[in-house]
Amino acid sequence: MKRSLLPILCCPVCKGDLELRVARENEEEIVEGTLECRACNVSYPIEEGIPDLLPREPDKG
Amino acid sequence: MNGCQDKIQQHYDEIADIYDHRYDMKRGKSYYGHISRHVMDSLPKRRKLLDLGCGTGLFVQRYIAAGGQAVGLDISRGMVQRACRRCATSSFTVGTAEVLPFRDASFDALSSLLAFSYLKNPDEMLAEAYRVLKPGGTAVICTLGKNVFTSGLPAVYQIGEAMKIRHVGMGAFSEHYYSREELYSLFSEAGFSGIHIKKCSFAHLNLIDPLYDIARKIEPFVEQNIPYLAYNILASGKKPDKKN
Repeated sequence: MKRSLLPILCCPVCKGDLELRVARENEEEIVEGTLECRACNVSYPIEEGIPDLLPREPDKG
Repeated sequence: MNGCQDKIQQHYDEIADIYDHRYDMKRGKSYYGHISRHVMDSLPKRRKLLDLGCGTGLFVQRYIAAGGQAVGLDISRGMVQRACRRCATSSFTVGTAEVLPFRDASFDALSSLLAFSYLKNPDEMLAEAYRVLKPGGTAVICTLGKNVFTSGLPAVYQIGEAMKIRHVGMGAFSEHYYSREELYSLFSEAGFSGIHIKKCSFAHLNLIDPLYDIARKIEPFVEQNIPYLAYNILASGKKPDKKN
């Protein structure tokens, strides 16, 4: 996921802010990480450079 | 997600490898190219576009080749992986068109080709499309139209699925074939103005060869004079500019 996408992204469910956590990044993009919505307590994964922003169940714990 | 969405996601993940053989080679390319031209004609050029149901990025590729920027969204990860490879400079995400992960007023233009008919809640998709468009932005949707040929297709697809035929779009997905009136009313209820509906594409790529060639030749005539025979339907609308 390119950093340039971040400013227009929001949580698909509550439309609130997403917090980016980067696990691995190269020159072009964030390869592995998460986009977290604190309001919904949900983590949307970024895997192999692709964010998955399908609505999902809240994180446990 | 509901059951039908899961089924569509699974189908497109499974056929991602053969999808481009259908829409990016020979006849498929001519069919997809024809629809794309209709959509391009209705969109503002060289702006920021969101393509919903972007598949392998075929339309994003065309839009950026014409000087625009584009973001693509698709429910299938397999499709998005291919789109990223096709358009390395654009951004893509997995998601559903009915609940968009984009902030209000993020795009100048929005397109969706051959995906709208598979949505369970088309009204929600259009409400989301309206929300993410900037004032003055344009949405263009091309989907399956209701006509004498398409009315029998759901039955054919149910049989195809029962026979386990591995074919792009060949599945019983409860897809909907839209009439002009239905699309007009959906766009209108979502708040769009300046709504235009037109029928396009007569030569569908599932036709056998001699028929396809003939259909291609008479396509412009059909679109102009007997649009109720056209296979696809295109709707466009504008989000009104802010009042001064």
